[in-house]
Parts: sequence; C-alpha cells; structure tokens
Amino acid sequence: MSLQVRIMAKRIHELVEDTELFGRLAQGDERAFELIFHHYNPRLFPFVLNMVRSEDAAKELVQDIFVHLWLKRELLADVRHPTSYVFHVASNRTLNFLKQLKNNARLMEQLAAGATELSYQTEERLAFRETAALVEAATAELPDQRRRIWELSRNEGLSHDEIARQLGISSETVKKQIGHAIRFIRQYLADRGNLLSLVIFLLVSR
Amino acid sequence: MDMDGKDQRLERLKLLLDRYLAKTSTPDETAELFASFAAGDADDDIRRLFLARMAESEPMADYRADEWDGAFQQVKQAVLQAGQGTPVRRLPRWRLAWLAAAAVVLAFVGIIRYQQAGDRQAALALDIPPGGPGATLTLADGTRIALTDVADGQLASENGVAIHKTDSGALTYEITGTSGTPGQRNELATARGQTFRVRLPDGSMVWLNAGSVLRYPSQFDAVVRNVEIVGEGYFEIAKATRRFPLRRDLAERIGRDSGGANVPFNILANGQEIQVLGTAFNVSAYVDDTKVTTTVTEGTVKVMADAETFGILKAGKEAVSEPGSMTIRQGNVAAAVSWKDGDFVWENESLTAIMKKIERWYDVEVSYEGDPTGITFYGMVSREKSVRSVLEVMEMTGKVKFRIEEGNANREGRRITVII
Repeated sequence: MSLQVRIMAKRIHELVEDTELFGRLAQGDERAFELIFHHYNPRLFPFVLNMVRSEDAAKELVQDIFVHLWLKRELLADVRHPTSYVFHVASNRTLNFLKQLKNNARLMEQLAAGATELSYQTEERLAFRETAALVEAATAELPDQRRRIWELSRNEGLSHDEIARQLGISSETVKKQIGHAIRFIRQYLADRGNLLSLVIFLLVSR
Repeated sequence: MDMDGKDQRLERLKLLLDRYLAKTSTPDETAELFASFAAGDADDDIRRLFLARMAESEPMADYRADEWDGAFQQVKQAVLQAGQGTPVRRLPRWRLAWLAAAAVVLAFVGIIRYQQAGDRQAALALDIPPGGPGATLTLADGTRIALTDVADGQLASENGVAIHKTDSGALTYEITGTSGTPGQRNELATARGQTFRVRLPDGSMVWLNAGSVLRYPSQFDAVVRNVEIVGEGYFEIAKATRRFPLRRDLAERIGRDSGGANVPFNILANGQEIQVLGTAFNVSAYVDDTKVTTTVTEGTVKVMADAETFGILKAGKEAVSEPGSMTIRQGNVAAAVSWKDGDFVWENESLTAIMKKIERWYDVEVSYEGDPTGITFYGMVSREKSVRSVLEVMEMTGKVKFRIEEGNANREGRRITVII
C-alpha cells in the first residue's frame, strides 16, 4: 500500500471508529444498515463497475457485498476498522467475481476487444457468485417440465409468452411453474444453510 | 520466488490493473491481468491493490440516495425473505432516521490528498465549542427571562414558565399561560449557538434552532391559533377541537367552514403563511434567506407564499417558497430535522448553505477565499462536537480547507475562512 493510501486509510479510520453506526448495524438496526449502504455504495460502485464492465453486474455485486455485511453483522461489533473491513469484503468479492469471469470465453472475448459494457446474461451473473453450483443442484431435482421452463426462462432469457408458445402451454402455466421453481430452489438453499447463496438467488431471481 | 521477483510481479500487476482501469489495455494485457486473477497465487496482492484503488477512486459525484433506494430495498427484502432480517418495531421513517442519526459522527469522506495533511494541522489547531440549549423569553410586559442557566435536575416555576425534566433528561419549558393578558404576545428567542425546546399553552411542541424568534400569544385564541417564526423551527402541533360550531362571522374571518371542528394553527414564517392541518413539520425561514423551506414529517400543511401562491404539502414533501414562486419536491425529512436531534445531515447540500448553519450554531463569521458556488457535500456530523471536527470532515473530501480564528472571550473576532 502506498504511503498516500495508508495515510488516507488512517484518516478514515479515525473518523469512522468514532461512530456508533457499525455497532448499531451489529445489533441489527436497519436504519444504520441503510446509512451504511448509502455511505459506501457511491464509494464502491465506481471501482466495481470499472472492473466488471456492466451496470447490472456491478449493481448486483455491490448488493452482494452489503448482503454479506448484513449476514455477518454480529462480527462487526468486534471490527476495529469498519471502513477497511468493508473495502476488504468488497475487494474479496470483486476478485472472486473476476476469477469466474475469466472462465467465460464469450465475455473475455468482449473484454479483450475493449468493450466498456459487457452483455452478461442473468444466468452468467448468478454463476459468478458462488451460488451457481447450488442452484444447479436444486434445478436438477425439479420435475422435468418445470426444469425445462425454468431453464428456458433463466438460461435463455425467454419471456413467459415465448416459453408458452415453444412448449404449447398457456403463459399462465409458465408463470406458475416458474413461481414453483423459485420457491423450490429457495427452500433448497435455505435447507442447506447457505444463506448468502439464498439471498443472492433471491436478488437475481426477481 | 525471491524478493525482487515478487516486487517485479507486483509492479507488473499494478501496471496492468491501472491500464485496465484507464481502459487503455491491449487485448494481451487484459488477458494477462485476468490470468493473474484466476491463478490464485497473488490473491493477497490483488486484494490489497483493489482496496487501494477502491479507496482512491472518486465517490460518485451525482449519487442520490433516493435513486438507489430500490437497490437497497432489494437487499433488505432478500435478507428478510431469507429469514435474516430483524423484526424491528416499525416507526415512521423520519423517526427511525432520528434514532439512528443521534450522536453519530459518520463522516462521508472522499479522497484525502496526502499533501493536505501538513497544512490541516496548522489551520485547524484552533477550535470553537458547539452551541447548547438556551433561550430568552420576553413577556408581553417586557420582562426578560434567561432560560439558560438552569442546573440539571432543578425544577422551577417562575413568571408563567414551568421548567420540567422529561424522561429523556431534556428540559422542557412549558408556558403555563398564566402570564400576560389575552391577545398579548410573548417572544421566545434563541441567540446564535442556542437551541431550545418548548411546549406551548395548547400542548404543541416547538424546537427552535439557533438564531430564531418565536412569537406566540400568551393565551391561545379559541378560534384560531396564530404564531410567528423568524428562523428555523420544528413543530409538532397538538390537535385542538372546538366544542361548538363556529359563528358565521368567525368562520369567514379565518376562511373556514363553520361546521369544522379543529382549531387551525397558522404560522407566519418570515412573512409567508403556513396553515397547519394537525401535523409535524420543519420550517426554515431566516431573515438572511428570502426563501422559506417547509418540510412535512407528518400530516398535511398548506404553505402560502402570498395570497395567490400556495401549495398543500403531505408528509415527505418539501416546499421552497418566496413571494410569487413555490417549488414543491420530495423532501429529505431526515436531513431537514437532523438539527433537532443534534446532527448536521448533508444530502448534496451546498457549501454556502452548510456554512450559514455553522455561522448560526457556532456563532462565527464566515468568509470565503475563492468561489464557493457548485461545491456540495454529503455527510453526517454531530453538532455536539466542536467546530473543528465538523470542518475536518469537510476537509477530508479535498474540496475545501478552513482557517479558524477563535476571537476573544466575548466571541468577538470569531471567524472561519473557507479556502477553496
């Protein structure tokens, strides 16, 4: 870390250490959470966006960071330097995301070509966030028809109407089946105690 | 790998990352950078680099919390659905805001430039303490009562003013209404550096910010309650009900339906009128500001800039009015009432507006070296701290510097120079 950064980090710590805000978050105060969100979001987002090169993906990644903060909020009572902790979590999650991105030839090609806005698909964004394997396992346990509908919707990005036409069923049925699929996957994740994955899934599947 | 090799690799990483962030990488460089991300043997270095670049990057200048509220709600909704939320007693948003805001000194800091560290020390070695509770009550007969020096726990009653201690330990000064003749006006004034809370004879609560004057009748009229404010106040108006329908001539006098039951509460704010329809709101109407800002936290109020220009505001709305013009917008309730709970909250607030508040609260003169237009701040700082801690937070952003002159014991010569 450069001298400049160390001095800056020190200043921030001096200020934030003085606060009760993280203590309140540790106790589960939603308003404190909201203040922290709006304090850090404008600081994290520009960097994250520049790294992942997609507004949607950056937004979700930042949400993911705050979800993590909330789920681990009890730990915050003992965190001596909250700002550095938040940045640390953000760095970690961004790096994990980029490690996954490396495996996606399609997007890497766009990146190398100098694209400033990558066209991630919903499924890809989900895949980068450690949740993919669990969701895939849950999907595999869905009844055939439901799984087919779910995959058409999530992986291929088809609308309810398009899926209905393709499978020769009503779009009302499609909607219902997707609802069932989401509930099943949600329960699957909850049962396995992987809260972060569950929350990420809930964020992306809406 | 030996030390030199390690250093070289770190330098290479730094170069690749910075070129990527500047969007000047060649395809090969991008591939090399991502290969390093995936390799896994330099994760700690990469994380440290990320952290540094994150901390250095300019926060979004045009960030608006309301535009990101959807993103935040999604996070909250998701954690709630996952059963990880907390069942919190649901208070109105503005009350929650106050609770959380109390005593917080969270600085919304931007980038700090290294070279500023030295100058800061010298410029901000001096300091000025914050204001505190206090006011002067002037009765209609000219009697002046200083409501400042009341010892903790002491309960007193004098000249129609009862002093109570509330559950929270704050003092309230209750005007008992036995003083003065009906129709005569009392005047409650806070000096610069003073703030005050009072319960009026009808049960309404008023918080007065620094440098403000509230004029109210020693006994309230049964038909209409009229008060006057110059400066800033937060009002929680008690509902008052008439027992009988109004006489037609009285109804005409106040422009109301004679069948109505509520006793209206009207506020003359620096020449503009606010009609209260049972509610809580903040009004800022200082003489040195031609505009009156009314922010409604509960219920509804009607703001009249003049006879033709008026607007009806519901909770959450804010009117900025001057004779002949009125703008109604979504208000930031938390920011508008933060002073009452001991905080400065800035949501994209202009440097000059912030400095006006500092002038009033710390009783200082502010002057500028350079052009302050267009500079705004986000932040939350306790007003209960000295001026230095407030200014330091602003300096952290690298947008301004300050010079403090403490003045003499009589506060003469207290000055803050803003250097842009």
